[in-house]
Amino acid sequence: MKLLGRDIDAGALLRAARERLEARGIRDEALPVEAEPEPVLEPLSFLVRALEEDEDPTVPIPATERGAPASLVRRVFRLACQSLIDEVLERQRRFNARVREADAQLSAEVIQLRARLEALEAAQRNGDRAALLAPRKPRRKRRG
Amino acid sequence: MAVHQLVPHFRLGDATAQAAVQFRALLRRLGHWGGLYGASRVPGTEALVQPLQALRVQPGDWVLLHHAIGSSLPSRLLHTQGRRGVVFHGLPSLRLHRGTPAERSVLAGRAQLSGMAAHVSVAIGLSEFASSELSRSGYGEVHTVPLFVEAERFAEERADPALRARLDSGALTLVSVGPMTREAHLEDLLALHREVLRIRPDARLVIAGAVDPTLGALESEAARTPGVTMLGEVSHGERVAVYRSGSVLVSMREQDGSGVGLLEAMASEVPVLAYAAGAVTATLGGAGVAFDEKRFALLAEVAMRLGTDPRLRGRVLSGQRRRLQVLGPGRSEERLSAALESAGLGRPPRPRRPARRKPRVGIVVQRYGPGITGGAEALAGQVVARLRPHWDIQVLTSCATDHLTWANALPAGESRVDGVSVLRFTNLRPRPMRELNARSRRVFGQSLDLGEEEAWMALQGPILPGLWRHLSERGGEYDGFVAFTYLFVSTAWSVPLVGDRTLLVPTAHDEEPLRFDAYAEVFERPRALLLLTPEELELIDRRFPRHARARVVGVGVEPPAVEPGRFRTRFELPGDYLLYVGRVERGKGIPGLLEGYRRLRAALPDAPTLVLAGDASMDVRAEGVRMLGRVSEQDKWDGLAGALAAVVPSPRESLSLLALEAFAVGTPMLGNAVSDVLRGHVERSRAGGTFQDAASFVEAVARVRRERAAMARAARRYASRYRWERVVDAYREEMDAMVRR
Repeated sequence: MKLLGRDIDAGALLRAARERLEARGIRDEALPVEAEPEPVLEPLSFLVRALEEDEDPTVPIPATERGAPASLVRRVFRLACQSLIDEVLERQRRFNARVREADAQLSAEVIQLRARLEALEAAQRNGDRAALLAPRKPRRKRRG
Repeated sequence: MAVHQLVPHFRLGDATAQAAVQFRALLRRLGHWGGLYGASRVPGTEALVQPLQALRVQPGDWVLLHHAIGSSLPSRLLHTQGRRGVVFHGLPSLRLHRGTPAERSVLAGRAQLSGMAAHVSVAIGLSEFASSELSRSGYGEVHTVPLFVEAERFAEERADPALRARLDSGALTLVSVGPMTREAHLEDLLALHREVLRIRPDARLVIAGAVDPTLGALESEAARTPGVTMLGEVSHGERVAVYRSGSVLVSMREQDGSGVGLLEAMASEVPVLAYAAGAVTATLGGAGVAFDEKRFALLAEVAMRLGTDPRLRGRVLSGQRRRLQVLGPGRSEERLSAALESAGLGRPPRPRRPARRKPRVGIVVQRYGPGITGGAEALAGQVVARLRPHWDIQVLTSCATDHLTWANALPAGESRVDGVSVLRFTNLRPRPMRELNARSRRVFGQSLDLGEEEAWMALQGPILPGLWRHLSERGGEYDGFVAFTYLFVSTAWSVPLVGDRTLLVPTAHDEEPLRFDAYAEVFERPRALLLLTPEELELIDRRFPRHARARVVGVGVEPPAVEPGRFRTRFELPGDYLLYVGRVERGKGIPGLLEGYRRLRAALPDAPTLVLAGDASMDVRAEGVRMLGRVSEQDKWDGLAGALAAVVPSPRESLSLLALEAFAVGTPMLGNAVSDVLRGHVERSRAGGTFQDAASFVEAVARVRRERAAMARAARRYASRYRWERVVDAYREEMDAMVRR
């Protein structure tokens, strides 16, 4: 273990701490920490997967995703009929949310592409062919 | 152009809300105005944060989204006109939430983060760690703008005294402050505490912050562990008490997104011992003690030394203080300015050197126009009238005539009042007096954070987004501004926008809101403060020692020709009378005056009549009391000239024009002794007396009766100092100096 700090003598502090541990007859162990970076998700793919997962409203919500237990009266009511409805509604709500997100994402992409197309068309009208040529393909070397 | 901010769920005390409020304060200092909009808001923040539906983006505006999990705002941002930006604090760790109900929200939040990357012009991370996540998620233009803490908010005197006393003990105390989510690693804090207990059985671990409901088992385990105190969510004052009671602040977070908790600990003078992950290393910058492995037995020994060795502790605290100075608001302001400039949003243009003969001056005041009563408003009207020949004036004000509701009674837009251009802006929200009073009772005297103070200020109103946009976009068309009354956001949020081109007339008196740190910039940023009395200067010196250059200018008082008999005849007042002119309401000390007068009637069979003139919002019916309602200017002067004395019962006065007007016509004044200003007038003029209760009121009236003639001479002498020509010269000097700069 390393100690970091400008205002401390890290080596001496650590040494003293280790000596005291030894004197107390204690062995210290490091807790393993996973330091891998968080994943980066591609949004369109994620949303498609999320839509697939929530597509069928008859599939119950996984137990890990259910809310906290309700009060006794509500629980009785839910036992009777509400739980099914709740689950279906929850599924529907999510499905709708994902559809909205996907739509937002896709349409934003479309808007961006449309703006780019307009810029290119404007450049073409102005005779600025250079804008149309990028990116260039690498030339083949002539043989012989 | 405006820089609006979107917050998924606005709740004071939350990291996103804190960041949004801080950003808005920084933006104001950079000359940019913008609204706060929440997809949802907790009750009590409606004045500070508007609903998302109210967002109206104009061409050239910017919209910054504070991203968090469970937010529906990314899709809204993608389809918002104007230029877009993302502010990123960090997201919960997917690793820690696998298999929990939050897993899918975390996944969705990360996908949303990547999805916005191609569609924003600027991305702002609140730490280097957050910025690196933004870069990994595909953002091109990434800037780091760290949050800051205002050290004075964490001073010892800001600690909640009850909790401070409760936690005070000689035992080694580890503290952890902040939401107890999975990222906070409560299990690691407990593991460390158990090791400390092996060395010091009386050691304690104090944890302040709401515990994630899914961590119930760990919370129970904590409750069973000796020496552990779980406080749950705490107020700002309690937060300071926890920090200040700690021997060492411990952080086991592996994903600290902003490092604000560490800054708060440094400001609270508690040594920091933190796991070197996330924003920790960059925030500490070599201060405190960081560690790179979780070896609890070893760390317990280090914590022991850090908490109990005075030399080591002293060195660490000294380094933390140095670090905190580097990480002040100025640094955040610079970073935000650089981020915005790189995205094409520079500071608003300043005026060119004027070719015009007269400087163009904007007068900022909460209400303006004929028939509007109020000391500051009347003063603004007089300043406009006197300076018109010298300045090209435009008054910038609200549409309100009523200061209690700020109802938009007058049309918005440009009009002319006595030949002066007046630009009125709509108030967004009526002032909810009941809610404001309830909030005031709750927060006054308490230790608050910036968000809580701004929420109170917003509730107080008037909320004039049009004014702030005008100053931000067209402030460069004015050579300078004179802003009246520090208290209202019409001034408090305007001054930073045009800071060093403003002369502030604060009309400050000793009142609770003046203790808010949020007002510091109102006193520190103007070019100069123009004050009414030496007492006001002393007060501001005490409260905001870094205030802008201040000058006691006062006002001018020039009475018209008076005929006391005319007033007596009109209102059928044959005998002696005491006169009060102004709003007849509790805040003006009227109940105390009525009580004093009741005693006076009982003590003196020939007691003078008590005459009250002005709009009343309370019942004043009593024997010997005459309520005249609002009277004309001439009646006021005639009445003052004929009165035995003018009475000023208000405990809070920044000048008391009534006292000066009474002096000018040779009438003594009886003032509330609680007010430094009224005491100052009486001591300097020797033309009246003060009272603090009914008995002293009776005495003061009797003394005025005995010495009325001498007091009248003294009153006239004193009033002769208050001449408009001196006041006008002072205003002109200050404005000319500003324009020539």
